[in-house]
This record gives sequence, C-alpha cells and structure tokens, in this order.
Amino acid sequence: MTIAEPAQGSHPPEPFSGYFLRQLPEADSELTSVGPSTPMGEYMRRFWQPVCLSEELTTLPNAIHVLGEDLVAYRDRAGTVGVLHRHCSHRGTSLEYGIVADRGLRCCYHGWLFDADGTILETPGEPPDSRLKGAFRHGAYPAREHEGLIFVFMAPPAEKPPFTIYDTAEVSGNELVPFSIAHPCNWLQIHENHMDPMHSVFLHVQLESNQLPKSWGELPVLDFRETDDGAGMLYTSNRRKDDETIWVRNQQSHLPNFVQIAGIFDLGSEERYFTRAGMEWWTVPNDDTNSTVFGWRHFNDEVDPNQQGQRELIGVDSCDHVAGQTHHNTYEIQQRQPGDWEVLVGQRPVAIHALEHLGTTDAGVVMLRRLLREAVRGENQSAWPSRRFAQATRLSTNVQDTTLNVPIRQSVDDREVLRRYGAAVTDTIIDSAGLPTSKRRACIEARVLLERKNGRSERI
Amino acid sequence: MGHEPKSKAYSGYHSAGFPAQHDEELLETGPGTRGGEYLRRFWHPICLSSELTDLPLAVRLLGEDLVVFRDRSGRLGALHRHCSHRGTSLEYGIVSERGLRCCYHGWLFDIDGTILETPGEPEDSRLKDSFRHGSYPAQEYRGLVFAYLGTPEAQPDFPVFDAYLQPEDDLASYSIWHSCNWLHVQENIMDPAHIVFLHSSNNQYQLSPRMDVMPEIEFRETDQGHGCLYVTSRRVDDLIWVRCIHALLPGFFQAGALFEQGDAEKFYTGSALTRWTIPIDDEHCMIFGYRHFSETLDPHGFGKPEECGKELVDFAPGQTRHREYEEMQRNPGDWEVLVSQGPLPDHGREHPGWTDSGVMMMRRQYRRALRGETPLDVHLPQNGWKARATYTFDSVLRIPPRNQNDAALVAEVGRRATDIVLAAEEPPGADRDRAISARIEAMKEDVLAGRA
Repeated sequence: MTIAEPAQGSHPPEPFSGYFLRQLPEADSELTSVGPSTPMGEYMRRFWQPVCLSEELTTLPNAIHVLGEDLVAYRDRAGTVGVLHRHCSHRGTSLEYGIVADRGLRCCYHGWLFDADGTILETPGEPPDSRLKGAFRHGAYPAREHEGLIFVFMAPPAEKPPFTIYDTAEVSGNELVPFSIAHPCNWLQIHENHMDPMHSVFLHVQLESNQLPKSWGELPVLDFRETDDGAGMLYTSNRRKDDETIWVRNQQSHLPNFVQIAGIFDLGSEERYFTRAGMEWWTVPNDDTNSTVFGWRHFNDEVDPNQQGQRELIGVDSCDHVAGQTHHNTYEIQQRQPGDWEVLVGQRPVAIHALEHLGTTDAGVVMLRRLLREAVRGENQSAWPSRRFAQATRLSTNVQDTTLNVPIRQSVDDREVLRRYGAAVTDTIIDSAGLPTSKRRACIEARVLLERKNGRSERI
Repeated sequence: MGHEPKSKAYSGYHSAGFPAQHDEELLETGPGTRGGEYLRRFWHPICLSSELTDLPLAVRLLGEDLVVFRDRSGRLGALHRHCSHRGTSLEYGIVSERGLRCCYHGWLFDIDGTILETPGEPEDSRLKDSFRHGSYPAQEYRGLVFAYLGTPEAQPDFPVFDAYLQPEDDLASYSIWHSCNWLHVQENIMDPAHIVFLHSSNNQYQLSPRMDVMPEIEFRETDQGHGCLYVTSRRVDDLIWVRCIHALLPGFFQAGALFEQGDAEKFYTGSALTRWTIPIDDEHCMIFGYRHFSETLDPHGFGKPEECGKELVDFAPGQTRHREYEEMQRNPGDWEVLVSQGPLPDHGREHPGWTDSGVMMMRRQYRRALRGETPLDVHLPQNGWKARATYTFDSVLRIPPRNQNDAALVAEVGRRATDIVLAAEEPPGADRDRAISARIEAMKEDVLAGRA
C-alpha cells in the first residue's frame, strides 16, 4: 500500500503562508455522498442498517432521516415494526403526526391507513367503491428488530441479504446494550477514526485527557491487514504494558460502515487470550453532513471483569465508554478535554481529503478509503453482500485483546518483539476463522508457545 | 403642483417579492473577491487581548475560519482553524510553550505555520518539514489583537494613529458582533442625520440632547480619496458647536467626545473613539475599537472604562444584540437599524436623499479603491511622522448670533475650523493639538471681528 505524498509545489513552504493556503477543494464525494443514486449511497443501501433504538418506538411514530431520505419508523399495536417514507402518499403531510394503529400507521390528515409493507389498507373518506387504495403502494422498507436496535434494508427487496449475526455475541453470559450518538458531520470521518489507532495515544491519553487507561498512551507497533478478501480490514496494535507484559489488540472494520471495538477497560497484566468485543457500531449517515452511530456495548465477565461498565449511561445519544463521545459537554469542557466527538465534528461538516497531510500512521485510514473505493466502483465483488453473506448468517470475526507475559530484555529490540508477537497472534486469529471461540483461543496459545521457543533460541 | 409619485397608492403588490440583488463588488469579502483582496491589504483587529486565555479562540474573518492563541512563551498566533493533518479543529488544541498542539494526534504548530512536531510519525519522517500550516502574522496593541491576512510581500507596517498619543489618554478596548454586512455598519458613521433622529428624538436622548435639531452639514473628501469627513455645526445658545467625524477606507473611523454637551467653550479636542468594522463574512461583521478616556474629552466623567469589553460599550443604548425585543422596539439603537437592513442590502431599493451624501461618497470612494482607481492607502503616517494624523475633532466657540442669517454664520465657523485642522502641518502630538487650538481661537476672534 502507498501513503499519499505530502502536497508539494502549490505554494512555497514559507512562514506565514496562510494567504496561499485558503482554497477549499471539493470533498471526496465518491466516498462521502450518500443520497439516493450516489455510488456510496447505493452501496450502503445493500446492507441492513440500524436506524433507531427499539425504545424509540413508542405509542408515537418516530421521524428519522437516513441516507438523505425522510422516513418514519413505528411499531404497530400488533408489534410489527414498519419503516415508511415520511410523507403521506395522499397529499404529503408528515406521518410523524400519524396514529399508531392495531395494524399499520394511520395518517392524521384524512385517515389513510398504511401497512408496514406500504399497502394502503384504508382510505376512509373515499366512496366505498373507490379502487384508489388498491392502485398503488406507499414507499416502505423491510425492517427488523435485533437486540434493541431497529434495522432497515433500503435497496430493492430482491437484493435483501440474510440478516447477519456476529460471533462476538457468543461469549458466555454476553448482554448487548444498545445506544446511539448523533454527530453533525459526514459518516466517513467518524468511521475511519477506528482504523486510526494512533489517535488514542494522543487524544485519549497523552494530551492531558486520560480518557483511556494509561497503557493506551504508549506508542504502539502498528499493522493493518485486509480481511475477508477486502470486505473489511483490521488493525493490530502491539504495546508493552509493563516490563513483564505485552498487549496485542485487533479491531476490525467491515465494509461499509460497521466496526468492532475490542475491550474498553483495562484488563490488567494477567495473561489473557482472545477476549472479544467491548462494543460494536454502525456509523449510519442521516445525510452527507449528519450521522448517527448505532450500536451495542457488550457486557460480559471476559471483557469487563471488574464491572466498570455503566448500563444506566447507555441509550439514546449517550454511552459510557470514553469521555467526549457526545455533544452534551459545555464548550469550555469541549475545549479543555476534547474527545472523539470534538475532533470528528471539528474536521468540517465533510472532511476535505485534498487538504490532508497523511503520515505513515494514517495507513489504516488510507487502506479503508481504498477498500471502500474499490467496493463502490464494483472492483471487488467480495465486498458486496450478495457474495459475502450468501453462505452464512453467522460471521466469524477477528476483534480481540490478548495480554501476554513477555518480559522486556535488554539485548533485544523490544519494538521487534512487539511486532513478532503481534504478527503471530494476528496470523493465528485469521487462520483460525470459522472455528469455535475456544478452539481459536487454543490455537493462539499454541502459536504463542512456539513464538516463545523461537525467541529463546534466537537469543542463544 | 409637484410631480405625481412614481408608484400609486396601495401599490405594495407591485413592489413586493422581487428577489433582492446585492452589489457584489461592494459587499463581498471572501478570498479571491475584489473586496476580499482589497480588505486583505490591511491589518485588522481579530479579538480582544482579554479573549486569549489558556484556551485557543476560534474566530472567523473575511470568510476564513481561524484560531487565535497566545502560546505560553507569550507569542501570538493566528492559524487556519483546521489541522493540516486530517482537518480537525485547532480550537480544541492545547496552547503550548511554543505554538499550538492539535488534540487529535499531537501535531505541534508554530505561530508562523512551521510544523514543529508530528509525534506519532517515525523518527526519520520528513513529513513535518515538507510543508507549512496556513498562518498569518498577528500582533497586539493595547488590548486588541490584529492580524494581516494578505499576501506577505504586501504586508504594511502596523498603523499607529494620532489618537493613541493623546497626553492623558486611557484606552479600553471593546468588540460587538453584528449579523449584517460590514458596509452597513461602516457607512452609518458618515450619516450625520441619523444622529438627530435615531439617537436624539425618537424616544429618548441616546447622546447629547443638543443633537436633536438638524445641524449645518458639510461633507468632504480627504486623504486623496481614501477618507471622508462630515462637519456638523450647531447653535447652542451663545455658542457654536462644531463636530467633525473622520473616516478612512475601508473600515476605520474616529468619533469625538461622546458626552459633549456643547455648552462650555473649548477650542479643540480629538477622538474619544477609534473604531474598525471588519467582515466576519458577507453577512456578519465585527466592530472592534478603543474608547479613549481623559479629563479633556469627558470633564464630567460620564464615560465608564469598566463598561467596555466583549459585547459591551459605555455609550448610547442599543449598540449590541443583548436587549429584550420590546426594549429594542421602544428604543431602537444602531444595532437594530443596521441589522434590520438585512444581512446583504439591496442598494437598488434605497431612495437616498441629500443627507445620504456622505454614505454615497463613502461607497463611491470604496468602489474606486477596489478598482485601483485611487492609490492604496494602508494608514501609514504622513511625512514620516510617528503616527497618522486624523481629523476628528470638536470645537465649542462663544460666538453669539449676529444677524438674521445665523445659519450661514454657524456653517462658516464649522468650515473655517475644519480648514484649520486639515491644514495643520505639525506632527501628531501635544504640540499639534496646542497649535490647532490656538489657530481656532484666533479664527474665533476673526469671526467676532468680522474678519475673513
């Protein structure tokens, strides 16, 4: 892979050159525009997308805005979830003012009744012999509910893939707690932040914030790899926790907009293998300049052995994982302790890639953009759901933390040690995909044992 | 019989709803526009010194988003707001010993745009040396921070005005945000008639009660077409009060004593207010200024330095947006009349009268300057002096009414006083002020003696 060269030649690198650097080029719309008929918008519509929390469907309909479309989501009194175009087919008033009925949603203006699939069930003001309601359907999308989130499929129904379950939910005693976070900016800058592990060192630890445990503040040895034939990618960050312990972490991003984040609390220095996701989320565009993150926090004894998670903080526009995730802070706190929310929204409503100066640590961001571009251009069919989800509804994934007892040695380059153990663990995880979690764990243990032996023999 | 009005009674239908058109040449200020490039040739105030704390300050000027800060070694920086790395806002950055550090990946920017550190990159990385971040020169002067946003080779010396040299001068800086085009706000100061109506006779006296009748008015061009002034001359019992207000392109002006009552003789006092109007963008602007306080300018001590600051100034109600709507309606001030002209005015819908001559003069001068038809004047001192001489003044002269045509006498005194101020050849400072004062006193004796 290549890293973009810094911009050259357009201006002299002289002091006080603001005057020459004022141009605002166009955003990278191939990746950032998501409305109907845009390349990325059409690609995203081929995947099930979460659009609200179950708890947001009450006795009232919920007005939502997804991929540039105004919609209304509701749960009728029989329990069926519907997602309809927001404006009534009759004369266009908003169905957010409608009445949730025993079956379907009734418009408040003239009483038309819409079923979840768009069928017009009633047009009560029309004569009994009217055939109007049988003549057309209202815009509707397939919807389903899973673990407290409402998912929608917004492409032609014939292309609807099976609903996918990720293996991270299989941890014993796992509980998924749904949440959302609203951002007034483009989706991509939020999503690619997860393939930028270096920001955690600075934003979340070193720069006077301590938003994450201190061990995150060590400069990691990084690696980035494509997964599932380019349908996703992962990062490996390898750090020394203390003189005795190293920590290998993998986070995985699945095209287009799903990410799996490993543990978010300090797991200590005890040796641990393959503990799974602390959270997972989709970054769902409302439109080009607004996005809502929908996902779950995972609660189980492996990923949060000290029970640091706070369920009561998790819900609509709220989560418990790191400070600075939502817009709810005062401006002074935003300035003094900026978090992900501030840096992502601060990148402009739509980040302008042409103005960036990417370094080697941005390799993950660059890889993610390339994979997305290849996918939307149709250059990688493996990244399309028809191919990817054809076989199984359960996906084996690679997100994990492993903590190993590897003492620091004076005679050995420790960065090289970190790189080698990181590669050994990550290779094994990828090779063991599809096996049950307990078997994958055993494979990693065996591979680490081998690495220790090699390390010792090298030293001799 | 007069002429019939052009439009008929109840003709609202015929004048409603046509889309407003703004004068792009005069009103647009973004990068690359004619106005924007002209405005970028000047130093502009961008914030109050007091706004620079241990946190960076997000500001917007001439359509550009910037961040201003004072680093821990005391140096001022004005940088493009979005980090050159991946664009996050430097308003969330950390003010450092040297420069400003981005909160996202720790890149450190010096005040001139040099990238001092990219701490996540490998040690042998040359990334930070291969470019600079957008940056502008900034400097501080008596409570205001100024920046220069133009092309570096045209950067002028920092302009120093004569008003800064007033002997007892005590300065207080202030700023006021406006949600309208900057030119509204600036041209208001070449409109002496609004003083009589808006500030004096609508509801309550916002300035001096003596300002509530129309004065004799004269407009003049100054500074080789780069400045203008008006002279208002009024009869106050046995006294004649001459008040001259001087403005320089693009957004500079000075006002005389703000609490002057015109009821005690004085020969010459200078500026009590030095002010700039600066575009934030085409539909918003800032006023930045200094209030000058001295015994001479304000013998009764009406001025209040402690009431000057951010969104705060100590004269005339209605200068800021911070009032109840009912109060705005019952006692509107400059803020209400300027902002309610609309964010971008349609000059084609105006009906200017004679009293708008100063406004028209200012627009004409600005247009000529934009087109390069007048040589650029960036407010440097004349004749190699240490400060730029300006012409704002007040004189109150004991000259009783002489005959039937008192208006002509009042106007003549105003004209002669202004001639004296414009003709002074002494460098700015106390000597110049004393010399002008003596000449005006002599002029008064001439007038009383009937000499030309």
